[in-house]
Formats: sequence, C-alpha cells, structure tokens
Amino acid sequence: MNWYTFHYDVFLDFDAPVSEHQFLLRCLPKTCGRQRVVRAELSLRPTVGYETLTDGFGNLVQTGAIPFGHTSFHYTSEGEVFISPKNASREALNPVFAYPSEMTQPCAAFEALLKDIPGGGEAGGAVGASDAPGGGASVLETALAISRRVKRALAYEPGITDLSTTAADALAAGVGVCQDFTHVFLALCRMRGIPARYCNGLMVGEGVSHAWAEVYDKGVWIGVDPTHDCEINETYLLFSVGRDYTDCSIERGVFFGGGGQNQKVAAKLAEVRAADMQQ
Amino acid sequence: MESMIRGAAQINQQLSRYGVKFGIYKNGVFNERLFPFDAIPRQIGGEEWAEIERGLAQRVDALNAFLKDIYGPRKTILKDGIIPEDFIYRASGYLPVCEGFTPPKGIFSHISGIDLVESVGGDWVVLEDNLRVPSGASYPLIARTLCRKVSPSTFRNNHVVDNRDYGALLRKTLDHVNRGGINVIMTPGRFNAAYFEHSLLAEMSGATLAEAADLVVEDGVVYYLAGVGRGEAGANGAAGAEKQRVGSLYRRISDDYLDPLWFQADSLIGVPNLISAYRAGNVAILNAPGNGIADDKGIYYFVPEMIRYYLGEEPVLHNAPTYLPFYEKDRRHVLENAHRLVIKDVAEAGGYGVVFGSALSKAKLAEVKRRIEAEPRRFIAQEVVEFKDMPMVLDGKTVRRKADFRAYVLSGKTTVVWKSGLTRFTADPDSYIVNSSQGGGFKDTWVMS
Repeated sequence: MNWYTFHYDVFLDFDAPVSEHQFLLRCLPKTCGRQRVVRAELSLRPTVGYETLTDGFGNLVQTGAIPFGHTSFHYTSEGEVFISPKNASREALNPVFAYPSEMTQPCAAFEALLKDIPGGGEAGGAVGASDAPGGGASVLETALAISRRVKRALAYEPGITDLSTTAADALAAGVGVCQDFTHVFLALCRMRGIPARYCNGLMVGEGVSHAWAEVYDKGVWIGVDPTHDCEINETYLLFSVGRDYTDCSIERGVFFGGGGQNQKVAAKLAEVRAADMQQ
Repeated sequence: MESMIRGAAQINQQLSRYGVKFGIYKNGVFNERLFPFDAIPRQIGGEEWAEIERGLAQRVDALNAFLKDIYGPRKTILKDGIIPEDFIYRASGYLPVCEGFTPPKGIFSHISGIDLVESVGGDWVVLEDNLRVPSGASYPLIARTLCRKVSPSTFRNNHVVDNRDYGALLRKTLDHVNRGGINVIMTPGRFNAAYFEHSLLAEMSGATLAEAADLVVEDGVVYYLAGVGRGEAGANGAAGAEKQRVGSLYRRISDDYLDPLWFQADSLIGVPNLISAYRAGNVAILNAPGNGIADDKGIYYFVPEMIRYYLGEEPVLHNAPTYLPFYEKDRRHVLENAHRLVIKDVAEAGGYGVVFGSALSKAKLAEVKRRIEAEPRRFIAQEVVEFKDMPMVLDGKTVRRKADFRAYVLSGKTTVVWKSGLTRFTADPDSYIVNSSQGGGFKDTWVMS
C-alpha cells in the first residue's frame, strides 16, 4: 500500500448570476478494491450543505442545492488514501457491464479494428497481426491487444470531441481525449465478450481528472488505461465507475440563468514519501 | 339501458366539454382527438370476475417480485437460468440508475394496467402488462358518472358494482408507501392530452396536483411550493410561498424526464434531484422508475414462469401462445409459420411494430423473416388470438367490433383489482389491434354483483 494525498478543485464561473442551482457530484473516492480512504472531504463555495448517497453502480454521490443567486460554484475534494500497486479489485460482476451502452454501441468500423483478435479468454483464434494475442490468450492479454489497437487508431487531441461524442464518432474522427479512448476500448472489449467498465478519477502527474477502464476476469476487475496504452498501477485513484461517461460524470447541474460558463480544474494526486512522514 | 343508449350523444358531448381526449402520434405528428364513448357496457358476471381478479393479483404480485429481484443484489431468476440475461441488459426498459435500491415497502408497480381479451372460447388471455404509467382509469370513471345522470333507472334495474371507489383505492395506495408528507400527482401540465385524467384523479384521491415547477428538492427532501409555483412568481426562492413536504409522488411523466440530473439532461418537465431524494428513502415514487423492464414485450413471455418461480403457483390467467425467436427451436417455428403469426418488435410500444403475418405480401414477409434472423432477440411472435367482438352503436345501428379490456390493479398493503376497467374497441371492423393510440373508442365495464 502506498500513501497518497489528493486534491481536486473545480471553479465554475457564470457570466450572469444563476439561482436554484441543483448539483450532483461524484468526486469523492470510497474504500474499495485497490484503495483505502483515510480521509476524504468535500467543501463547497458558496457554502451549502450536501447529502451523500450511493448510485446504481455503488458510486458515492453528493447532491445539494444553492437556492440563492450566485456567479460562481467552487468545489474541492481532498484527502488521503492508501492505494495498492496490485492491479486487481475483487467484486461480484454486475452483468450490465458485458453489454453495450448508449455511448459504446458496436459499429462496422469496430469489427475491422478487432480483426484477428480472438474472444477474451477463449482458446484458439488466428495469429495474424503482431499485436493479436495467440491461442488461449487471457482476458488481460486480449484487453491489452485491444488497447494497442485503440492507441493506433486515435490521436490524442483535446478540443475536437466533446462530452456527447460516442465511441463510433470518436473512431470516425480518429482523435479524442481519455474519455474517447476509453469509450472505444470499452466498445471493443464488450464486442469480444469481455465485461468492461468506465472509470473516472485522478492520476499522478495529470492536472485534470482522468478516465480509464477496467476489464473483468475471474472475479476481479483489472485496470487498463487505453490513453496511455498500459495496465494501471497505484498512481490511479478511482472516483466512480459506470457503463460509460454518462453514468459517472463528475459534475452535473441544473439552474436558472447564467448564460455562458467557464470552468477551471486543478487536480493533484501525489505520493507521501517517507521523508515527508518523518516531519 | 335503452335510455342510456339514447343518451349516448349527450354523454359524448359532456365528455368533450370535460376535455376527455386522447393524444396520438401518427406519422410523427401529434394529434389530439376525442375518445368516443359507446353506451353499451361490457358486463362481467360476479363469478367470472372473481377468477379474473385472482389471476390479475397473482400476476402483478409476481411482476413486483421480479422487479425487486432484478434491481436487488441477488437476481436469482437470472442465476437460476429462468430468464436469459440478454432479455434484461439489452432491453431499453432496464435502468441501471435503479440498481441496488428497493422502493418503500418493496413495491415497484403500485398501479398496474393489465390488458386482456376474452377469447372466442371464453377464456381471458393477457396480451400486455403496463407497469409504467398506465392511463385510462378516468374514462370509465367519468363515463359511469355521466351515465348515472342520463339514465338513473339503468342503475336501479341492474346490479352493477359501483366503481366510484377508485379515488379511495388510489389514496390508500399512495398512503401505504408515503414517507411522510402530502400525496402529489405530478402532471406534465395542462397541455398534456391526459391532463383531464390527472386532475380528476387528484380530486378523487385527495392528492395535490402539481407540475415540475411546483416541486423542489431541498436537503434530500421533496417539497411542494403551495400558492406560487416557482415557474411563475418565485424565481428568487418563491418568497412567502408555503412549502409542504411530499411523501408520495404519483408521477404521470415517463422515467426519462423525471430528473435531469439522473436521466435525460435536457428535460424541462422534471424535478432536479428527485431521484436523489428517492434513493435517500425520503419520497415514494409511483410507479417506481425502472419498471419498464417488467412490461417489456420480451419479458412478457416469461411472466407465467415468474408466477411459478416466485409464488409457487400455477398461473390463473394465460398469455397468448408466444414464441421467442431468441431460442433456436422457437426461431425455426416462427420462420416456418410467420405467415399466420403476429410478429411484435419488442422495442416498440402503443400498437406500433406489430404486424400480422397473414396481412403481409410475400416480399414483406421475407423481409420480416430476415430481420428476425438478424436480430432474434428483438422480436416475439404470437398465435393470433380469436377474441370476441362486442355490440356497439354506430350511426343508429348496432354493429360488432373487436374489444379488449384494461384492468387496473393497485398494490398497497394487499393487491386489489378495481371492480371496473376500460373496454376499448376498434374503429376498423377488420382490425385486431385495440389500442387507444390507434383510434377507436371506449365502453364502460360493469362488474355485476
């Protein structure tokens, strides 16, 4: 177990005052799988109370309202966690993760991308392209082969796709951000019979939130980061999971007024070193 | 009864004044039209009714047990292989938002509308379960009231069970799951085709009629803003408005629009954080969100099995004989017999996506078969149920038309069937599709004592 501090700050500025602002956040980690939460706190400005509940995927959700007029909304989630370097989270499978979701519907282009990649964990299958796993490939091997294909098919480029871009649209565009890499990866895994889910959270060295995926094999979830084309390790802190982005968005809000809005994000996940501990 | 039939025109005139209408979509265009009333009632004898009642309560109890199982942690009906996972997780009616939460008192479907037909052989056959927002109870309610006015003698001379207790039944159902606070009926608004029904039910059950703008969530609790709705006067927190806690919410809008933070983000007729209050256990929502998985056309096939599985009983009421192309054996049968079966697309509702093999050209039939082969899970196929036609008066003459029957089943402390219901008939003498969305009219249903 490694010791980390996390800090996630979001500043939302509105051009004009908003009122009756109802919000829903998923920005606090919980103890599960690879991570143990020592302390996790949410602070809100304007200062209002919030309720904590669990959503249909077991994620922690914080909800509340700011009834009076305001021109900015600032929320900070911070605390300390232990994260295990072992990439495995034991959990019963919610079967829904084996099926396509709205953002990850299969399409013909995905079939082409999956060429020569056999079904997850199944024996046999062709050995064609160099990155295709051979006969009897494990779920993880197949998932990593899929991750390589995604990495080749998409260029990392912010500002082109948006929150409503589906996996098929992202692949057609050939560009995207971590959300799009993850959606395409999920669509491909599910088409090969591997249950897979979307993960939202923080990553060491990343100044905003990050998205990756987990694939299910023999009772455990194993993390794969298609954007960086690698397995995950202790430098990933999980906030929420879902079938795709829409299930676990970090912030949703409804309000009156506002006009345009501007968002600034600052995220930091950092290891607490032995030297720090001695102080 | 003659005087009542003579008074039919008068009754229809009254119905149109009350705004008893039905909204239909045809070729993508929304139209509202009056729902014509025919004065010759459907009469069901006491003994026959007792059997129907028993079968309906049994069916709804099993459907409620199924919903509790599917959205709960155990999902035993899947693990025991009674229903294949595909029929849950590929169905649009399954809502992951509802996972891991059991509604107050464990009831999902509080007000169920079960559609039946009486076959030529005299058996009652269930065609469809409606567990989301089944409408139409107001039609026989208002028609009965008007009939009594037009022809009081009819009700002196016939032993008809009074159906005006629906409001009281509804109130009991709302009270039973109430989490503290008032009962509210939530309507999309007065421009909705069913607004008449919403307001009538509110009046009869003593519930408050509210629109989304009258409801607000604070600290995980739903409040009704009495007096000034937020939408009109109170943009700054409805100063001076009195607010009342809501314990039961009978919503007459679909799941998708309930809460823009949990469902469709662009919904303007929803209440933000309503689902948060619901999942916190602070309000009952009738019917529960997520019920669409239980009235899915594909799931219909499994309802008799559900009754055996959850209740350990034999079904009292039967389904129309149904085949599931998902199963190899059924698929072969369906492909060979498509020309005489009814094929239904499980993704469609309201009488759409239903084709009679016998009515299709060779080319169309081949196309339907191709679609079944390509996506077998998407379709069910049924034997055509020869059901009874009923007399009705058209232009002063008595003619016969096919008619179905929607029964209303209310689940509270116990499961009860309202001793009345909606009988709908087709306008087209050759049609078997009886659905208000497809035209036609309605009759009162008399349960005889």
